[in-house]
Amino acid sequence: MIQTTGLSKSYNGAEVLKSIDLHVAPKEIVVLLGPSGSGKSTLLRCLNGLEELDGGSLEVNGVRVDASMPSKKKQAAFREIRRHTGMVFQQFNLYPHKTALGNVIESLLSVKKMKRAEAVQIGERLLDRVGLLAKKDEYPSRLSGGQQQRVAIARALAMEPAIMLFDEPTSALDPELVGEVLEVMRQLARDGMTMVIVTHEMKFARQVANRIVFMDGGVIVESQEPEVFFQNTASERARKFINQLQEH
Amino acid sequence: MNLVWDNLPFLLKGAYYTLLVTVVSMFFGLIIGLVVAIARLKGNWLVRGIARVYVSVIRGTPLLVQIFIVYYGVVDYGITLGPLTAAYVALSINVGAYLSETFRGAIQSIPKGQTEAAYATGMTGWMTMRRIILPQAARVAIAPMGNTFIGMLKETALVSAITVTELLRSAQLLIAQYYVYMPFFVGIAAMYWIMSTVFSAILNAVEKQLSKVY
Repeated sequence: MIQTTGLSKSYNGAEVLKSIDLHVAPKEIVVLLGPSGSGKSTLLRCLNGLEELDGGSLEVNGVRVDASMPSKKKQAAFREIRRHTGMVFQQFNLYPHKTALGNVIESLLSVKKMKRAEAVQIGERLLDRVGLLAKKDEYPSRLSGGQQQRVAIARALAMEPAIMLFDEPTSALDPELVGEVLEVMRQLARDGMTMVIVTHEMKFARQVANRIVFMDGGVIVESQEPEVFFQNTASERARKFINQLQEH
Repeated sequence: MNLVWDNLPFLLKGAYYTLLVTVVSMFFGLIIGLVVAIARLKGNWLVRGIARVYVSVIRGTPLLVQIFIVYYGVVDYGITLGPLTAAYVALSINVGAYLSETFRGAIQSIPKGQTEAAYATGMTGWMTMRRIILPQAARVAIAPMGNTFIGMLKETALVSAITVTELLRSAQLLIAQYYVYMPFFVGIAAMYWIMSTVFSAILNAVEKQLSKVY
């Protein structure tokens, strides 16, 4: 479903991703872990082209992008990838000038050119799925962080993605609001969605992930089943990371 | 002061032209400003360069000189514009440069996450601009745009220099007829002031309405 080959990325000469080979199978749930600055968010954002790749190639849902492609062709390929890939951001990034429903159906109207009535039907169903149908006419400013993030998930689902990317979806939330977002994600996992998740929620990662990919310094240090990773990790760096998290 | 009352219809006609020039120039200025702002943000190096030079030249030269160039200057190349047309052209080009800066700032003030969210759902750059960025930028731009509009209303006095009979020139014509200055100048000052105040009030109401939506 996802395959990166020798993927690399630099900011001002500093290499933040060093020849990453990541494979994600259909219906697999991969959690990217690692200290801040390890490159996990950058890797996630490379998968749908929000960050430009400097080297290597990737294939997402059958669409191939090579770093050496001309930029026009790359853009078109990434647009194709994005049509089948949902993304959820740390800061929600809901459109403030649109209602919850408006947010969810925006891409249906603009990208898919769907009729409004049809889009509204889909949008209402998705809002219902994340438990927010009652809030469909509210603007984001009137919703709590947890509610905003659930609307954002519904928005990402509107395009019927084959893959969902989550970039620290609960990091900006007050602790008491984290649970409702994770619950929606669990539901998605149960429904068989292919997911790549960057998160710091260790318990969630352990419960939901099929595989933990541990990154540090722009490389993949380990790729393990959660139980193996958390109990009996092979690398010193991963062990240190887990211990640090357990200290508080 | 009686002279002003007696000649009020004539002065009102001048005020009408002042308003007409303001509104027409503002309308085309908005279009120019928007196109130039997007050109500066999204264009290739050539388009960006042209847009930047345009803004720099217009903001760095007196409006009166620009008006003279459009009315008198281009005659050398066989282009003759009527005074009113020349006024529209010169003022539109002028206000377009200022508005482009307003729009550019407003567009840039919208967080990058908005663009990323739109891109992530498969929207193109143009769709994102039209449906996500511009509606939000409009709200940011409305207050400075209002100021530009009021400024414009007053700067139209300059087109009296190319014989457009707007408010100032109406007064000058009456002065030439009656040989008294003060009543007419005070009279048109009052009329400018009333127009500015009314527009300010309207713009404030629009702004309030817009900020209520979300």
